[in-house]
This record gives sequence, structure tokens and C-alpha cells, in this order.
Amino acid sequence: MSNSFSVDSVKDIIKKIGCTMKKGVDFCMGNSVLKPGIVLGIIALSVGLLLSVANFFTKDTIAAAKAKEITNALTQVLPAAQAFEEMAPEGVDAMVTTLYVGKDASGETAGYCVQVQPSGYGGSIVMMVGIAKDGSVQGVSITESSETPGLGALANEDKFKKQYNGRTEPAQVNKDGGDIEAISGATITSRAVTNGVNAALETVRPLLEEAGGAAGE
Amino acid sequence: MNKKLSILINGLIRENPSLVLLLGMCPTLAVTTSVNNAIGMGLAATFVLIGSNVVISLLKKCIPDKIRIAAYIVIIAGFVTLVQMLLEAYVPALNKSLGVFIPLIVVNCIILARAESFASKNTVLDSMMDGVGMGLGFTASLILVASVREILGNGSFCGIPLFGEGFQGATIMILPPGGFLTLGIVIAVVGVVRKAISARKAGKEI
Repeated sequence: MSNSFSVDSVKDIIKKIGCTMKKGVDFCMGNSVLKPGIVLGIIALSVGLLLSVANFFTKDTIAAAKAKEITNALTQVLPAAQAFEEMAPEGVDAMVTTLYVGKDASGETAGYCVQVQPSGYGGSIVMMVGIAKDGSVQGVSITESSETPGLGALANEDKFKKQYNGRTEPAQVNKDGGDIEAISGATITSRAVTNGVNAALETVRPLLEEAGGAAGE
Repeated sequence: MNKKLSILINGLIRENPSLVLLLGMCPTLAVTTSVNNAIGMGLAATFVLIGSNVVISLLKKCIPDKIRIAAYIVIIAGFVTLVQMLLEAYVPALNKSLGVFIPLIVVNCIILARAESFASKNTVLDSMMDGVGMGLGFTASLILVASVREILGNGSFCGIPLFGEGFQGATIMILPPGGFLTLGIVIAVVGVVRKAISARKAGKEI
């Protein structure tokens, strides 16, 4: 007798607990705010999770692609150098973002590469300028720009860029009395690229003087 | 099987997203300065479209009606971020030339419109076919507009010069006004052709 009584009372208690739980679940899921919120939360969480997995698998390749792009630009503007080292720019023009020293096969300094960021017609132009140890511009390469296609974007064509090669003194576009022939219809871009090259020359000059002075003594 | 094919054709021709439905005008005008850009943009959008259509169709019963747009945007944004990571890793040059228009696929009306009007009502396989059709239709119209602009404006196709050194392109075709001009004319031609076809069909039926 006592046995069956206790079973009944246990069943009763379980039933009561079940009821309370069901009420709780009904309250939560029937709630028009909580359920959509939870669903959206789950969707966002799973999307985020999948993206972090994707990021884990692509981040090395992305970093490698970026590094390769910089190396390509560096070799293009300073072909004499084999290896490049980043160095801290000191007290230079605000346009200058990064400074690299290029070493040739024997480890001697072959020249410097300066990444400058003048502002063009459609925003910043990121460009690399290579300067040899005799102080002359070896090459210019525009790595990133949002200049107008067909006009300002022509600044990355050899026809325009070649004009800077061999220069040791700051240049100016023909409209400002200089001898850089500006791209027709894109004077602002031409001026910006010229400013970038000038800033690079100014940055490298003291470095070369220092090196030249040391060699002279 | 026939139905699947007709869904595909629907997106490619009958309801071509940019030339007939007039959706996704912003990328159609902005990235069609060169055929390479058009192909890249079209394929990126196609990938996102197929992915989001499939996932949304799978989840159509779980997503409460009230938050469906928010849920769609989260799913679409996920695919777009994935595309951008892949482009950045494997075709950085294309990623650079498409610039901000890759992240902007998130708010491309074609993708949200297909999620809302097709994927949320149809089976997974049909939604996938719709994604393929709409995506390729979008790509095809981008290539069409970009071909006209690149050939006239730059004298090249896919970056390959067509007319030799002496050719002076009409720069206006590459600039935004050229985009509007070309798109308007292409839409008009497509409209005339569509009208002629439907008139002929109607004539046959009588």
C-alpha cells in the first residue's frame, strides 16, 4: 500500500514539474519577441562561426598575396636591388607612409623605395617611388588609386611614369611651369603623382647625404 | 526537368534582372568600364545569389516572418564576406579593381528580391536554378554593357587592344555618362526585341 502511494505521489510531482516547464517554454516560444530574437541570434552566430573558419583558412594566403604585391612594386621601381628591408621613416613628409632600403646581391645599399600617398582627384593615390643611391628616380609605380578610368588612371601608364626616371631634383607639371607633361584632362592626378615623387626625393636626400658623408670621411 | 530549365531561362532572358526587371542598376553602371570587371562582378554576384538562395530556401520554415529581411541580410552578408576573402586571397587584382562594389553586393536588390520572391517560396533545387539563371543573366547583361563601353571608350576587349596604337577612344564612354547612355540604349533595344517576339508569338497563336 505504502509503495503504491509513494509511486503516485512521485508521478504527481513529475506531472507538476512538467506542467511548470511547459508553461515556461510556452511563455518563451509563444512570445513574439523572444522567438524571432533567438532564431536571428542562432543564424547570426552560425554565419559568424562559418566566416571565422573561412578567415582561418584564407588569412595566410591574403597576407602572402599582399606581401607579394609590395615586393613586386619594390622590384619594379628599383630593379637593382635584390632584397628589401623596411626602415622607420624619421621626420619626413606626412605623405610618406613606408620607407624601404633596397640591398643588392652583395648586401650593399642599392637605393631606397618610398611609399607615398598623395591625394589625387578621387582620393589617395598609393604609389611606390624607387630612388637609386646616386639620388635619381629609378621608377614609379601606382599600387592603389581611385582615379577616373581613361583619364587619371592613365598615370600608371609607362608613357607618363617614365618622365620621372633619372630625375634628382623635384619636378613640376608643365601647367605649373615645370617640364612634366601632365595627362590631358587629369592635371590634378598628374600634380599629385609629381608631389608624391618630390616628397620621396626629399625623404631620401638626407639619407643619401649621410651615407655619402660617411664614405667621404 | 523541363521546369528547372525554364527557371534557368527565366532568369537569363525573360526576367533578366538588370535589363528587364531593372534591378541592380548601381553595379551595372559602375563596374562596366571594362569587360574583365563585368565578368568578375557578375560571377561574384552569381556565387552569392546561388548560396543565399539555397540557404534561405533551406531555412524558409525556420525563419519567422517578422525577422525575415534581417535574417536574409545576415545570410547574404555572410556570403559576400566569404567572396571578398576568396577574391582577396586568390585574385587580389580583381578585388582591387572592383573595390567597394564587392561589399555592396550585400545591398544589391537582385539578391534580396530573389530571396524574398523566389527562394522563400520554392524548393531548394528550384531556388538553386533560379540563382544560377539570375546570376548568369546579370553577368551576361554586365558583359553586354561593358563590351560596348570598353570597345568604344578604350578600343579594347577584355584588355586586349583591338584597333592598334593610333586609336583614340571616346573617353566619355568609360566615364559615368557613357554608362547611362549605353545602359539606356541596351535596355531600349532589349525592349524592342522582346516586344517583337511577343507580337510574333501572339500572331502565331491566332
